Amino acid sequence: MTTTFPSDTAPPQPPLLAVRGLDVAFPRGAGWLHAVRGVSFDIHRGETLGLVGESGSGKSLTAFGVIGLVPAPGRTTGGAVLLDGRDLAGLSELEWCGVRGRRIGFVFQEPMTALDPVHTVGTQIAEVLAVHGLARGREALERAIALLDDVAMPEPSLAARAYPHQLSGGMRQRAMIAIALAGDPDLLIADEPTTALDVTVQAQILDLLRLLKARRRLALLLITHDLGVVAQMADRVAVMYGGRVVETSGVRELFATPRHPYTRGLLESVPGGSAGARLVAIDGVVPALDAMPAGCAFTPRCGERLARCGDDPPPAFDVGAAHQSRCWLHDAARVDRGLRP
Amino acid sequence: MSLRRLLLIAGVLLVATAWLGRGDPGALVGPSLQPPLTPVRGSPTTTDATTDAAAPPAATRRAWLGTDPIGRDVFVRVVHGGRVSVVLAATATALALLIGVLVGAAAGAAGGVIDTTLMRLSELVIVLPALYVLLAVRAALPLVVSPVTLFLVTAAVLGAIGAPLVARAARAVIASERSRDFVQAAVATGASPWRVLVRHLVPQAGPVVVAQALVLFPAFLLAEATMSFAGLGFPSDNPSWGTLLQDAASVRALDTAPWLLAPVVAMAATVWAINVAADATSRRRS
Ligand SMILES: Nc1ncnc2c1ncn2[C@@H]1O[C@H](COP(=O)(O)OP(=O)(O)OP(=O)(O)O)[C@@H](O)[C@H]1O
Ligand code: SF4
Ligand SMILES: [Mg+2]
Repeated sequence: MTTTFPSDTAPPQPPLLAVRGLDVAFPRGAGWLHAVRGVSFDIHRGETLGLVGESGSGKSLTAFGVIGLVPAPGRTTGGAVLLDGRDLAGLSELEWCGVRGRRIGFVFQEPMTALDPVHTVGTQIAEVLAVHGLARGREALERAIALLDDVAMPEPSLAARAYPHQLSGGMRQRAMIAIALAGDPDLLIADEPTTALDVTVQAQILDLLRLLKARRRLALLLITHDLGVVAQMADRVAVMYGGRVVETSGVRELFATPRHPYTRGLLESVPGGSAGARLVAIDGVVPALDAMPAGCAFTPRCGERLARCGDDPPPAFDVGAAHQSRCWLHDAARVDRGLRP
Repeated sequence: MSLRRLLLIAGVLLVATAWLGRGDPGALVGPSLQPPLTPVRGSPTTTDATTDAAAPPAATRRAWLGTDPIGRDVFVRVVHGGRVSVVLAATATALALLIGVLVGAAAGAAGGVIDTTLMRLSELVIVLPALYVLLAVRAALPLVVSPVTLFLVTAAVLGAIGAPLVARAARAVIASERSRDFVQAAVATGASPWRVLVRHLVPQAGPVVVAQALVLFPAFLLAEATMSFAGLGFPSDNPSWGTLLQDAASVRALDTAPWLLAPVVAMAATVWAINVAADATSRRRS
């Protein structure tokens, strides 16, 4: 279940980021409630992985798990996060400081609350440069302005002197992206970077991310619940449900031949799989963490469920080239016996 | 507004004390104080033997605010007294802010046992009656101490008494801001826990700390005045505003020389000016 899928667009080199069986849990009573369960994926240099799923499916916690920032009292309870082959799990707090911001940049969903209200935008960018020893003083401020220019901030030198509350939502998100890029990271994690923005601004921010990705050869982990965003932006897709990655595939193949019943439901619920659609059209909701079935998390909502689904968690089946799906329907033994539900 | 009330209480208290000391309400409608805007010349201790102690002169060309019963220039004495009073209150306030923010930041950032211990200690100090602590400490010193020693001891005691209020306010802000997005965002840029504390958490406490300072400063001004008024403070030849009021209390001030109460006006004006300045600063920032 920790198979890697070489991307069909990236050259055959080891992945920049390899997540293996990541587990994130919150303490409940004597035990743990697992919010992220055995999540694995790879991201290669220059590649965009779209992590898509309904609210509560564990996307944000996966991202926080990658940078070692699972909010207390939750914690990473298993798995490995390999950056250029090196496991980040054993890093000291000091070593983490050299990874966060420097190797991995993070863009938060809500730029208003993710920017410090008491410092100017320029100061906050300059601080990242100082943290990583890249520049300080006047030089840091000049580079902050250059970074604001890079993210197409109008009037970058004015914006550098502005406080977050003086900027519009789109400008704030540009500032947030400039902060995330200040340490010149290899990987950018963007957790629903456009959800808090107007539609027109959303498109601008997505264009910007695409441009920056190409210009800086960034790898991008793009978290979204918008299939339209995935279709526009991603090279590969990982669909999350109930804390697990239920299907992973190249983006074109996923939209052409979705295999997991949940993914199929998502795509059917969106007319033509078009942009702007939210993942809400399947009957029912994601089960709460303490009501998660022992087997496939989708069982209560699945129209094709089998007798064993509620009790046995399905493994990831290979269903195509670099295409896997976590569903008992693909079980060869069952298919051979002609047992369709 | 709580500050304005504090100010009002302080002013009323001082006037009332001076009045109770030599009481004659009729003098309250005596000649008004003349606002001198000249640079200070002259010494606060030069006496004039020709002065009629029973009726010291009001404003003259040489003494803009009149003189006291032994001929010392009241205006010069108020200005000199202000140096002691204002600088002392400001020093004590600064000390309280410094200790308070340090303790509050440590408690808010550390949490757990350290937090609980520091906050219990603070509460212990907060419930002490500040003025009595000051008087008790003063009483423990020799009756005559040098003004410098007195200044330092008073500032230290007031600072230590005021610090827990600041600490509690700062801690509350820091503890609540710790879970905010921008703190996690700062950590995600590689900022160390120390940097997050100093650069992102402590600055959030700025407004409440300023608010505390605006409460502490007038309280300290009043505390020192009370101490000196009680005769335990600065001596007559190195006066604070409290000393001047003490001097005023020993003559029929309201009756014969109301200008001797000028320090009360000076205190009120100082506190008011600081508030206006603080208001203007906070308006400019937002
Ligand atoms: N601090 C917490 N304590 C307990 N449970 C939590 C906590 N944070 C998140 N969870 C649970 O973990 C699950 C996954 O949360 P996560 O934030 O990763 O979802 P998400 O996919 O990012 O959703 P969204 O689209 O709403 O951002 C949810 O069921 C949520 O209730
Ligand atoms: S494993 Fe069973 S319940 Fe889960 S998606 Fe497949 S068929 Fe549906
Ligand atoms: Mg989320």
